[in-house]
Amino acid sequence: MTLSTAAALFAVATVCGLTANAVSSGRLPLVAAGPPSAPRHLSLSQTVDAVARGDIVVDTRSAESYAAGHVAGAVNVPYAQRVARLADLRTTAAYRKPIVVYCRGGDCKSAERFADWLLQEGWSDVAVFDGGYPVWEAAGLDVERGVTE
Amino acid sequence: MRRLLCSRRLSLILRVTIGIVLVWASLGKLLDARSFADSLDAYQLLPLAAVNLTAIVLPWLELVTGLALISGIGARGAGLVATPLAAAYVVATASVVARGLDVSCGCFGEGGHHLTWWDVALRVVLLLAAIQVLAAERTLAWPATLITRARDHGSAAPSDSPRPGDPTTRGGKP
Repeated sequence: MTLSTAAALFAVATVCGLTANAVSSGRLPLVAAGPPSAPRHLSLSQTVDAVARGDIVVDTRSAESYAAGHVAGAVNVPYAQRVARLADLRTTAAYRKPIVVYCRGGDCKSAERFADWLLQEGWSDVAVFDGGYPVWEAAGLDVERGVTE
Repeated sequence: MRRLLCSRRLSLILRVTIGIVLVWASLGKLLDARSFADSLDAYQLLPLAAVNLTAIVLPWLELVTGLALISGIGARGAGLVATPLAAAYVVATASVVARGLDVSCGCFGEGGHHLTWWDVALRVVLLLAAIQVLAAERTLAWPATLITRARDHGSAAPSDSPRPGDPTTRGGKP
Protein backbone atom coordinates (compact mmCIF):
# COMPACT_ATOMS: atom_id res chain seq x y z
CA MET A 1 0.00 0.00 0.00
CA THR A 2 2.77 2.38 1.00
CA LEU A 3 4.83 1.59 -2.08
CA SER A 4 1.85 1.93 -4.36
CA THR A 5 1.03 5.32 -2.82
CA ALA A 6 4.62 6.47 -3.36
CA ALA A 7 4.49 5.21 -6.95
CA ALA A 8 1.19 7.03 -7.46
CA LEU A 9 2.75 10.27 -6.18
CA PHE A 10 5.61 9.83 -8.66
CA ALA A 11 3.16 9.15 -11.47
CA VAL A 12 0.99 12.17 -10.65
CA ALA A 13 4.07 14.42 -10.39
CA THR A 14 5.44 13.14 -13.70
CA VAL A 15 2.15 13.57 -15.57
CA CYS A 16 1.55 17.04 -14.08
CA GLY A 17 5.13 18.13 -14.78
CA LEU A 18 5.15 16.95 -18.39
CA THR A 19 1.70 18.42 -19.05
CA ALA A 20 2.53 21.77 -17.46
CA ASN A 21 5.79 21.92 -19.39
CA ALA A 22 4.04 21.09 -22.67
CA VAL A 23 1.58 23.97 -22.32
CA SER A 24 4.06 26.43 -20.80
CA SER A 25 5.33 29.38 -22.85
CA GLY A 26 8.81 28.83 -21.40
CA ARG A 27 8.83 25.15 -22.34
CA LEU A 28 12.01 23.21 -21.60
CA PRO A 29 13.19 20.49 -23.98
CA LEU A 30 12.93 17.19 -22.11
CA VAL A 31 16.56 16.43 -22.82
CA ALA A 32 18.98 19.34 -22.90
CA ALA A 33 21.11 19.52 -26.00
CA GLY A 34 24.47 17.86 -25.53
CA PRO A 35 27.69 19.78 -26.00
CA PRO A 36 28.59 20.53 -29.61
CA SER A 37 31.68 18.90 -31.05
CA ALA A 38 33.38 22.22 -31.76
CA PRO A 39 33.29 25.67 -30.15
CA ARG A 40 31.60 28.64 -31.80
CA HIS A 41 33.76 31.42 -33.22
CA LEU A 42 32.95 35.02 -32.34
CA SER A 43 33.75 38.24 -34.12
CA LEU A 44 34.64 41.38 -32.18
CA SER A 45 31.06 42.68 -32.12
CA GLN A 46 29.72 39.28 -31.02
CA THR A 47 32.30 39.19 -28.24
CA VAL A 48 31.30 42.70 -27.11
CA ASP A 49 27.69 41.47 -26.91
CA ALA A 50 28.77 38.34 -24.99
CA VAL A 51 30.72 40.40 -22.45
CA ALA A 52 27.73 42.75 -22.06
CA ARG A 53 25.50 39.71 -21.40
CA GLY A 54 27.80 38.63 -18.60
CA ASP A 55 29.32 35.55 -20.25
CA ILE A 56 32.42 34.22 -18.52
CA VAL A 57 35.54 35.40 -20.37
CA VAL A 58 38.73 33.36 -20.06
CA ASP A 59 42.15 34.65 -21.06
CA THR A 60 44.42 31.71 -21.84
CA ARG A 61 47.64 33.70 -22.21
CA SER A 62 50.45 33.68 -19.66
CA ALA A 63 50.07 35.45 -16.33
CA GLU A 64 52.56 38.12 -17.50
CA SER A 65 50.61 38.89 -20.69
CA TYR A 66 47.38 38.94 -18.70
CA ALA A 67 48.84 41.37 -16.15
CA ALA A 68 50.03 43.66 -18.96
CA GLY A 69 46.43 44.04 -20.17
CA HIS A 70 43.31 41.94 -20.63
CA VAL A 71 39.64 42.19 -21.50
CA ALA A 72 37.87 43.81 -18.55
CA GLY A 73 36.42 41.12 -16.31
CA ALA A 74 38.33 38.23 -17.89
CA VAL A 75 39.77 35.50 -15.68
CA ASN A 76 43.25 34.19 -16.42
CA VAL A 77 43.69 30.46 -16.93
CA PRO A 78 46.89 29.84 -18.89
CA TYR A 79 46.48 26.90 -21.23
CA ALA A 80 49.19 24.88 -19.50
CA GLN A 81 47.48 25.31 -16.13
CA ARG A 82 44.01 24.32 -17.28
CA VAL A 83 43.90 20.93 -15.56
CA ALA A 84 45.19 22.32 -12.27
CA ARG A 85 42.62 25.13 -12.49
CA LEU A 86 39.69 22.88 -13.37
CA ALA A 87 38.21 23.09 -9.87
CA ASP A 88 38.44 26.89 -9.95
CA LEU A 89 36.76 26.93 -13.35
CA ARG A 90 33.93 24.75 -12.13
CA THR A 91 33.48 27.13 -9.22
CA THR A 92 33.42 30.14 -11.54
CA ALA A 93 31.22 28.77 -14.29
CA ALA A 94 28.35 26.31 -14.26
CA TYR A 95 28.38 23.87 -17.16
CA ARG A 96 25.61 25.67 -19.02
CA LYS A 97 27.10 29.13 -18.45
CA PRO A 98 28.41 30.56 -21.73
CA ILE A 99 32.20 30.88 -21.83
CA VAL A 100 34.24 32.97 -24.25
CA VAL A 101 37.91 32.10 -24.58
CA TYR A 102 40.62 34.20 -26.16
CA CYS A 103 44.39 34.38 -26.45
CA ARG A 104 46.59 36.74 -28.45
CA GLY A 105 44.92 36.05 -31.80
CA GLY A 106 46.87 35.49 -34.99
CA ASP A 107 48.57 32.10 -34.97
CA CYS A 108 47.70 31.53 -31.30
CA LYS A 109 45.90 28.21 -30.94
CA SER A 110 45.66 27.97 -27.16
CA ALA A 111 42.15 29.50 -27.04
CA GLU A 112 40.85 27.01 -29.61
CA ARG A 113 42.44 24.07 -27.79
CA PHE A 114 41.24 25.37 -24.45
CA ALA A 115 37.70 25.63 -25.84
CA ASP A 116 37.86 22.04 -27.15
CA TRP A 117 39.01 20.91 -23.72
CA LEU A 118 36.16 22.77 -22.00
CA LEU A 119 33.66 20.94 -24.23
CA GLN A 120 35.25 17.60 -23.34
CA GLU A 121 35.06 18.49 -19.65
CA GLY A 122 31.31 19.06 -19.83
CA TRP A 123 30.71 22.71 -20.63
CA SER A 124 28.11 23.09 -23.35
CA ASP A 125 28.31 26.70 -24.54
CA VAL A 126 31.88 27.57 -25.44
CA ALA A 127 33.08 30.15 -27.93
CA VAL A 128 36.43 31.45 -29.15
CA PHE A 129 37.05 35.14 -29.75
CA ASP A 130 39.08 34.83 -32.94
CA GLY A 131 40.75 38.23 -32.87
CA GLY A 132 42.06 37.81 -29.36
CA TYR A 133 43.35 40.54 -27.10
CA PRO A 134 45.17 42.65 -29.78
CA VAL A 135 41.90 43.20 -31.70
CA TRP A 136 40.03 44.03 -28.50
CA GLU A 137 42.65 46.54 -27.39
CA ALA A 138 42.95 48.11 -30.85
CA ALA A 139 39.18 48.70 -30.85
CA GLY A 140 39.54 50.84 -27.71
CA LEU A 141 37.30 48.62 -25.64
CA ASP A 142 37.50 48.25 -21.84
CA VAL A 143 40.72 46.70 -20.66
CA GLU A 144 42.18 46.09 -17.23
CA ARG A 145 45.79 45.78 -16.17
CA GLY A 146 47.36 43.87 -13.34
CA VAL A 147 46.14 40.71 -11.72
CA THR A 148 42.55 40.58 -10.58
CA GLU A 149 41.56 37.74 -8.29
CA MET B 1 14.18 6.94 21.61
CA ARG B 2 11.78 4.37 20.20
CA ARG B 3 8.88 6.24 21.81
CA LEU B 4 10.05 9.48 20.21
CA LEU B 5 10.48 7.79 16.86
CA CYS B 6 6.95 6.45 16.94
CA SER B 7 5.19 9.39 18.56
CA ARG B 8 2.04 10.13 16.54
CA ARG B 9 1.75 13.64 17.94
CA LEU B 10 5.33 14.52 16.98
CA SER B 11 4.75 12.87 13.62
CA LEU B 12 1.71 15.07 12.98
CA ILE B 13 3.69 18.24 13.70
CA LEU B 14 6.67 17.13 11.60
CA ARG B 15 4.50 15.86 8.78
CA VAL B 16 2.65 19.14 8.39
CA THR B 17 5.90 21.11 8.73
CA ILE B 18 7.68 19.06 6.06
CA GLY B 19 4.60 19.36 3.87
CA ILE B 20 4.60 23.15 4.14
CA VAL B 21 8.35 23.30 3.40
CA LEU B 22 7.94 21.09 0.32
CA VAL B 23 4.96 23.02 -1.03
CA TRP B 24 6.75 26.30 -0.41
CA ALA B 25 9.90 24.97 -2.10
CA SER B 26 7.95 23.80 -5.13
CA LEU B 27 6.15 27.05 -5.92
CA GLY B 28 9.12 29.17 -7.03
CA LYS B 29 10.47 26.31 -9.12
CA LEU B 30 7.10 25.73 -10.79
CA LEU B 31 6.92 29.37 -11.80
CA ASP B 32 10.37 29.36 -13.42
CA ALA B 33 11.49 25.88 -14.48
CA ARG B 34 14.28 27.27 -16.66
CA SER B 35 15.99 29.02 -13.76
CA PHE B 36 15.61 25.87 -11.66
CA ALA B 37 17.23 23.85 -14.47
CA ASP B 38 20.14 26.30 -14.44
CA SER B 39 20.43 25.93 -10.66
CA LEU B 40 20.39 22.13 -10.96
CA ASP B 41 23.05 22.28 -13.63
CA ALA B 42 25.23 24.48 -11.43
CA TYR B 43 25.29 21.70 -8.81
CA GLN B 44 27.20 19.62 -11.41
CA LEU B 45 25.78 16.37 -10.10
CA LEU B 46 23.38 15.29 -12.83
CA PRO B 47 24.31 14.48 -16.42
CA LEU B 48 23.19 17.24 -18.77
CA ALA B 49 20.63 14.90 -20.36
CA ALA B 50 18.83 14.47 -17.00
CA VAL B 51 18.80 18.10 -15.87
CA ASN B 52 15.70 19.33 -17.71
CA LEU B 53 13.54 16.30 -16.94
CA THR B 54 14.47 16.59 -13.26
CA ALA B 55 13.67 20.32 -13.33
CA ILE B 56 10.26 19.53 -14.84
CA VAL B 57 9.22 16.69 -12.51
CA LEU B 58 10.91 17.45 -9.17
CA PRO B 59 8.87 20.58 -8.28
CA TRP B 60 5.64 18.67 -8.92
CA LEU B 61 6.88 15.77 -6.85
CA GLU B 62 7.57 18.21 -4.01
CA LEU B 63 4.12 19.75 -4.44
CA VAL B 64 2.09 16.52 -4.45
CA THR B 65 4.19 15.02 -1.66
CA GLY B 66 3.83 18.17 0.41
CA LEU B 67 0.06 18.26 -0.09
CA ALA B 68 -0.21 14.58 0.82
CA LEU B 69 1.78 15.16 4.00
CA ILE B 70 -0.30 18.17 5.01
CA SER B 71 -3.62 16.46 4.28
CA GLY B 72 -2.59 13.12 5.72
CA ILE B 73 -3.95 11.32 2.68
CA GLY B 74 -1.42 8.69 1.71
CA ALA B 75 0.85 10.07 4.40
CA ARG B 76 3.06 7.03 4.73
CA GLY B 77 3.59 6.80 0.99
CA ALA B 78 4.41 10.50 1.00
CA GLY B 79 6.84 9.87 3.83
CA LEU B 80 8.43 7.18 1.70
CA VAL B 81 8.95 9.77 -1.04
CA ALA B 82 9.98 12.61 1.29
CA THR B 83 12.72 10.59 3.00
CA PRO B 84 14.90 9.84 -0.07
CA LEU B 85 14.06 13.33 -1.34
CA ALA B 86 15.48 14.84 1.85
CA ALA B 87 18.47 12.48 1.67
CA ALA B 88 19.13 13.65 -1.89
CA TYR B 89 19.02 17.27 -0.69
CA VAL B 90 21.59 16.45 2.02
CA VAL B 91 23.93 14.73 -0.45
CA ALA B 92 23.58 17.45 -3.10
CA THR B 93 24.12 20.31 -0.67
CA ALA B 94 27.04 18.65 1.13
CA SER B 95 28.65 17.83 -2.22
CA VAL B 96 28.41 21.45 -3.38
CA VAL B 97 29.80 22.83 -0.11
CA ALA B 98 32.60 20.22 0.04
CA ARG B 99 33.65 21.03 -3.54
CA GLY B 100 33.56 24.75 -2.77
CA LEU B 101 31.26 25.51 -5.70
CA ASP B 102 29.98 29.05 -5.92
CA VAL B 103 26.36 27.99 -6.25
CA SER B 104 23.18 29.74 -5.22
CA CYS B 105 20.77 27.50 -3.38
CA GLY B 106 17.86 27.63 -5.83
CA CYS B 107 15.92 25.69 -3.20
CA PHE B 108 12.89 27.96 -3.26
CA GLY B 109 13.14 29.10 -6.87
CA GLU B 110 15.49 31.48 -8.58
CA GLY B 111 18.51 32.89 -6.79
CA GLY B 112 18.87 32.37 -3.08
CA HIS B 113 21.91 32.49 -0.86
CA HIS B 114 25.17 30.65 -1.33
CA LEU B 115 25.27 27.24 0.26
CA THR B 116 27.15 26.62 3.51
CA TRP B 117 27.46 23.77 6.01
CA TRP B 118 24.59 25.41 7.86
CA ASP B 119 22.36 24.56 4.89
CA VAL B 120 23.58 20.97 5.05
CA ALA B 121 22.65 20.84 8.75
CA LEU B 122 19.14 22.15 7.99
CA ARG B 123 18.64 19.42 5.40
CA VAL B 124 19.86 16.79 7.84
CA VAL B 125 17.13 18.01 10.23
CA LEU B 126 14.61 17.71 7.40
CA LEU B 127 15.83 14.17 6.71
CA LEU B 128 15.52 13.17 10.38
CA ALA B 129 12.02 14.60 10.47
CA ALA B 130 11.08 12.64 7.36
CA ILE B 131 12.45 9.44 8.89
CA GLN B 132 10.37 10.04 12.02
CA VAL B 133 7.24 10.57 9.92
CA LEU B 134 7.91 7.41 7.95
CA ALA B 135 8.44 5.42 11.16
CA ALA B 136 5.38 6.78 12.95
CA GLU B 137 2.90 6.74 10.07
CA ARG B 138 1.73 3.16 10.28
CA THR B 139 -1.79 4.00 9.39
CA LEU B 140 -3.59 6.93 7.86
CA ALA B 141 -3.44 9.75 10.33
CA TRP B 142 -5.08 13.13 10.62
CA PRO B 143 -7.52 14.01 9.17
CA ALA B 144 -8.47 10.41 8.55
CA THR B 145 -8.17 9.74 12.28
CA LEU B 146 -10.51 12.61 13.08
CA ILE B 147 -13.00 11.40 10.51
CA THR B 148 -12.87 7.88 11.95
CA ARG B 149 -13.32 9.18 15.48
CA ALA B 150 -16.22 11.41 14.47
CA ARG B 151 -17.87 8.47 12.68
CA ASP B 152 -17.42 6.22 15.72
CA HIS B 153 -18.71 8.93 18.01
CA GLY B 154 -21.64 9.61 15.71
CA SER B 155 -22.70 5.97 15.52
CA ALA B 156 -22.46 5.55 19.31
CA ALA B 157 -24.35 8.70 20.23
CA PRO B 158 -27.99 7.83 19.29
CA SER B 159 -28.05 4.71 21.38
CA ASP B 160 -27.78 5.30 25.09
CA SER B 161 -28.68 1.76 25.86
CA PRO B 162 -25.74 -0.32 26.94
CA ARG B 163 -24.50 -3.01 24.59
CA PRO B 164 -24.62 -6.57 25.87
CA GLY B 165 -21.29 -7.57 27.30
CA ASP B 166 -20.08 -4.00 27.49
CA PRO B 167 -17.73 -3.91 30.50
CA THR B 168 -18.48 -0.22 31.08
CA THR B 169 -22.13 -0.92 31.98
CA ARG B 170 -22.98 -1.49 35.58
CA GLY B 171 -26.17 -3.40 36.07
CA GLY B 172 -28.04 -1.82 33.19
CA LYS B 173 -31.60 -2.87 32.51
CA PRO B 174 -31.88 -5.71 30.05
